[in-house]
Amino acid sequence: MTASVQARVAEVARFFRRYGWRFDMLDDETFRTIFRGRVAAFVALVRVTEHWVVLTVNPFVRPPGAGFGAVALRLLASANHQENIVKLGLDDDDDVFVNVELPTEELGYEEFSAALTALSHSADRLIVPLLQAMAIDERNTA
Amino acid sequence: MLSEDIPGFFDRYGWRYERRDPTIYRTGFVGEAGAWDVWVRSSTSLVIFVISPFVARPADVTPGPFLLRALLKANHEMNLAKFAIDDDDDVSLAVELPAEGFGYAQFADALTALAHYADEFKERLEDAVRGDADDRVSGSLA
Repeated sequence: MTASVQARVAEVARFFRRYGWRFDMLDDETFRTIFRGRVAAFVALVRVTEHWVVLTVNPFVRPPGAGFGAVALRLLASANHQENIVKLGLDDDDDVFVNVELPTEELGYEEFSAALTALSHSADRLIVPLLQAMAIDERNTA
Repeated sequence: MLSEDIPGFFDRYGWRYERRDPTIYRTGFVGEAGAWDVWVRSSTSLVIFVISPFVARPADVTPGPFLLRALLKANHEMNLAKFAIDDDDDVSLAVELPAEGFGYAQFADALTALAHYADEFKERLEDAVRGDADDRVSGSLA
């Protein structure tokens, strides 16, 4: 780990404490925290690299056996337009992820807190509509 | 960050632009895979860079599963940028950053990311549009 990443990790730890959320370290560069929304609890990881700080909930939802159908895919693609600074997508395992990516240059508490707030609000807002969309897809293919 | 700062950022980056209203700027570039218009919009909370429409699609046809899946997969491969389906059913490629702490470094990162990913993903998304068209034809013949 470079000195600059090490310094950034210490800074993110201070940001977490100021935000009031507990965390543990998965490794030298990765924080893990848990938050509870209205209907579910989510595990979020914050990974610090030389150029990026990535906040992620992954898996947000795992794929059904037949893969995500048209209604769920459409909801995810449209959510990317509606959710500010938050990105949704499918990873290599076809799990849905919710991310916020910040360049490390000039990263401050305001950006970090805005990112954590956006990540947690989006995850909480989208979980039920996504599960409903998956149920519709399942019914459509039955 | 104020919208008034953006002309100076464009000048420093070396790209021409036009100001379409107090908070909206238009620029463009020619990459290896095509030419694009880029819209830059600033508000008190966000600065948004967007290319829309990113790929041509048949009119009056909603985005199909090949395209939706391709853009959600692409979102996993990109840093900072994201694909989405907007309110007009167009594919957009966007970078959204918090206005708080926004400076030239973020401005340059955003334009560089858009230019890079526009070239990288154009062909893949056009293939997906063709895949959906082929799928509709096979579906209508079945």
